[in-house]
Amino acid sequence: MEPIPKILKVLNWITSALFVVALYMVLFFAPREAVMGDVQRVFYFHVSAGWVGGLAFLVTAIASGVYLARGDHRWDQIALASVEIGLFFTLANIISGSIWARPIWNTWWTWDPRLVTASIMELVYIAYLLLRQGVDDPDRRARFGAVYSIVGFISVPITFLSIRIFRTIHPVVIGSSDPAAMSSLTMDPKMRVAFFFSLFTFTLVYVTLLWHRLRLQHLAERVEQTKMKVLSA
Amino acid sequence: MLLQEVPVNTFNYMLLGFSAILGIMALFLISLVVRFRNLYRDLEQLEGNDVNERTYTTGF
Amino acid sequence: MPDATQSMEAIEQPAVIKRGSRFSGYLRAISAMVWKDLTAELRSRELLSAMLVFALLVILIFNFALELDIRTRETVTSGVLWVTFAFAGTLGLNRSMAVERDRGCLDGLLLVPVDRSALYFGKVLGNLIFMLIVEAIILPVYSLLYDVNLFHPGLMAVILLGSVGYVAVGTLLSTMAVQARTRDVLLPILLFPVVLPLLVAALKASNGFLQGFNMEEIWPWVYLLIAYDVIFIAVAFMVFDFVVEE
Repeated sequence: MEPIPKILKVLNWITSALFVVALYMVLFFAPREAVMGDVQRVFYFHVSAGWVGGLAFLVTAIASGVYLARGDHRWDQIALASVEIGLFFTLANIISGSIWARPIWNTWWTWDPRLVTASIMELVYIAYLLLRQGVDDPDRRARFGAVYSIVGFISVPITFLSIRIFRTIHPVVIGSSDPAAMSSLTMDPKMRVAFFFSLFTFTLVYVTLLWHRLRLQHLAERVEQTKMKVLSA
Repeated sequence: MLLQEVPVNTFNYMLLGFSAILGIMALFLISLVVRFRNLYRDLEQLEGNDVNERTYTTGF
Repeated sequence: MPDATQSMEAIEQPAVIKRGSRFSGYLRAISAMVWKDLTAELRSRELLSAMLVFALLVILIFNFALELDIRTRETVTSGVLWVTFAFAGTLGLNRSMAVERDRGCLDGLLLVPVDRSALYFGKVLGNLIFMLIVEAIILPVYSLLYDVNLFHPGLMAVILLGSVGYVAVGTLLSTMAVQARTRDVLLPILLFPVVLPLLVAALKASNGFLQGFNMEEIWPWVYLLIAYDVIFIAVAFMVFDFVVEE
């Protein structure tokens, strides 16, 4: 494997540093929320993780579309790498949301549109991985994965819409698309800074992780090729 | 609830929430590292075999 | 041989009519697909009988699981019906595509010089017909068993819309699922998370009609059903090629 490129090394350091700063901002810089107390601090990372999850699946859908159009193998690798990251961050989003909901809504779980949609999204992309796992031919695996990720991605907003119509009477503001309105909390300037800073940091974390995951994919393929060579020799 | 002067003490839930998020992110990192390490080991083994085989055949 | 002479005629015709005949060729390919499925089913009856028996069993299980007495019946009927349709539907979809694959039909069909989407629409229509037949039998049986009047034109329309969307997505996904090594378990896992909004909408709309809600409460669900159908038929039409390549 060729050594880690310089840009990636720099990116590693920047991302780590920003992450530490973000952690500091969220834990100490941002003021304690008046009603919900400390647990509200989870909000910054909770929303950021959700954003990365959505972004990752969007990238997957786009990469899948490009793969189907051009047939270039690299786009399929991007799609797969992005799905994996998206699954982890969506899971983090769901679990942290659940923990936040416990003291505030007095329950671990409500059938809130965002919650249910995030969970369904998680299931869609687990199904995506299962589909890929079940197909042996690499070319077909890539095509099937691409088709399913596109179908899945289109279904997600429809799912959200259906559950939103289903649950029109929900305690918090769900009409607004502004993520900050989710908990009907009013953010003061410091909170806003911390919020956008962690959004930015998480986006950078996503880019860094995607890069590493792609390198892993390359390495795996190289091992596969070497294996073939050794076996046929 | 709005009339409450002192915010509710939800510090433990905050800790739990952060450990969940950071834990899951760490899990992904660990899985990356482990997979990298396994692949490097495989590659070393394979290329070792490869090299041995070649030296064997040429030596023969 | 009639096909050959017709295509010969088509070559000699001016361009406009040629396009028309190409379209009619497309339609003929679709109807041939449907016809093939129907005659095969008429001979073996294995698909419909399996779906029907399975659907009846699901209803039977629901009867004990939910203790469908008169009061609960009112509210859960649409739920029971749609779960039954969805389960029986996956059974039918899986079987109908597995047959194509096992007998090498799929490879043969792909050799036919016709647009691949004709295969898709043919298969969708075939599956839709099977699903509607099952529903047409299940509905009266259910209303007989539980003394619920299910003959409501609105409900029929909802069932039609719901089945169209279900089969449109299901046919696409089952075409992939049967080509996988894990084909026995894959279809429901792929299908259910994607088809969930359709089921929710169909369920709520059916419930609305059965309980005599205002149309204002039902329309959003009907719109959602129509939107789902249109979107996914369009998407499947665009990507089906990639699912049957080679």
